[in-house]
Amino acid sequence: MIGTIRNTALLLILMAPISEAQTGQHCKPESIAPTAPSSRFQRGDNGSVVDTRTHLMWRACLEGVTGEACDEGKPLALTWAEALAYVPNANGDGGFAGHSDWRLPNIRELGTLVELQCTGPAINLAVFNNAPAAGVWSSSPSGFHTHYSWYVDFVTGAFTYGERAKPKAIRLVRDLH
Amino acid sequence: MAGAGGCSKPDGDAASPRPRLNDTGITWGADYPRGVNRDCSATIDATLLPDGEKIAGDILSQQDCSHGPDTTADDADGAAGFAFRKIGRKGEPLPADARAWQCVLDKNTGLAWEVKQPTDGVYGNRGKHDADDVFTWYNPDKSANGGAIGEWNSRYDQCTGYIEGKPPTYCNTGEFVSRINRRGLCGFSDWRLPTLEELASLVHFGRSAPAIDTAYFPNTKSGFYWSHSPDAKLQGRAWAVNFQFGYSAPMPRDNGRHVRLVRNWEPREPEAK
Repeated sequence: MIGTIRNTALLLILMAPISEAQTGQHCKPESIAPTAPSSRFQRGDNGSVVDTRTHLMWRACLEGVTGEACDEGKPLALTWAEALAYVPNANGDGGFAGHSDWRLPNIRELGTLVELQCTGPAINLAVFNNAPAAGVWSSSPSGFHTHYSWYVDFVTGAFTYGERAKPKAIRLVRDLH
Repeated sequence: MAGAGGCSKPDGDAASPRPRLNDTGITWGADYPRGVNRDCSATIDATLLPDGEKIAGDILSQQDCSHGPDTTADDADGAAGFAFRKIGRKGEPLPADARAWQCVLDKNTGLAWEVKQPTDGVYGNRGKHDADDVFTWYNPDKSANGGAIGEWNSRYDQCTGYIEGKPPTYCNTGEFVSRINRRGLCGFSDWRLPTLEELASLVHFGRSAPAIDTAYFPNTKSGFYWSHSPDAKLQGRAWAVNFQFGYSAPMPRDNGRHVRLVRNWEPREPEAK
């Protein structure tokens, strides 16, 4: 009996970070204008999302995650160099959604996905299902801090930078022609 | 309002139907785990890798410098892929070598920007567009202020024209916008505080201190500039962009920060809700 209680408690502790990631988002639609409304995006049937404003096509899930609702698997955690090297390999293996010209977004492109109405994560979860409140690498290096590169902190939506050797998630993009 | 005293068709080559994102300005590659290069190249220095880390493969073809308009653009109308046009006092387009201009049109985004006047480290002595002036964040519009109006700043003389006891002269963002629009700027009187994304569109990520094309935006301070965007987490903060390096961060609204106003230069389709 005691063992069962202990196990239950342990299970709750183990689940806590996951459920927090799912339900931690806080939004203020009544007093902050949307920056990434659902009406801007068209969901494809093969894991892609088109942004009709920027004419960019995005992968609906972070790399490493699959499923209709992006709820299977865990996001890859890659250093900046691993992220850069991952994409040519993925394109060489046939790419995704019938395209093999996916790329790592630059900091400004990645920033267009930020929904400032919300935090934790600052992204539209109706479009990017289950997107975690986490850092996502861009393709843009920092020039002044020469061991840093730029990423979007999707906890808040900030453009910021960090050490290239630290692992982060990635989300791929391609140009619509 | 729009067009009063100004040019209704200011710029032929800005007539593209759809606003585009600016490129980043980064034209050079970076090494791993540290280092940056002058050209678009990249190497991995295995001797600097942490114990046990191995990385091999192509780390250049996905870097920023390998993609986008920056790869081919010249600097004729703005650094790298930026495309700017100087605008004069009455809204008239000026040649790139004009020595005096009041506003700048960004031909990629379709936004026009306030240009600041030379800085000497003193508030309020170079006119309404003094680059030194700072303002608190203030917005009484409940539908857009994140749940709080911010800081009125009745007490501090931090900007041109401040007079104690006269609210229209106070150094906050809301009053500054009203003051500029009362007289107009570059022929228009619908200037506003930019959203975070608009403000960040001016960042030249290939430069620092300041991270902007100073040929078009001289006198830019290497500090925070206010955006119109409230912080969704804490209602006492709003988003600002630091033009030392170009990062964004939520800042307390009672801080005195710089401001650069914006307006939509051409009528464009409103974004669907």
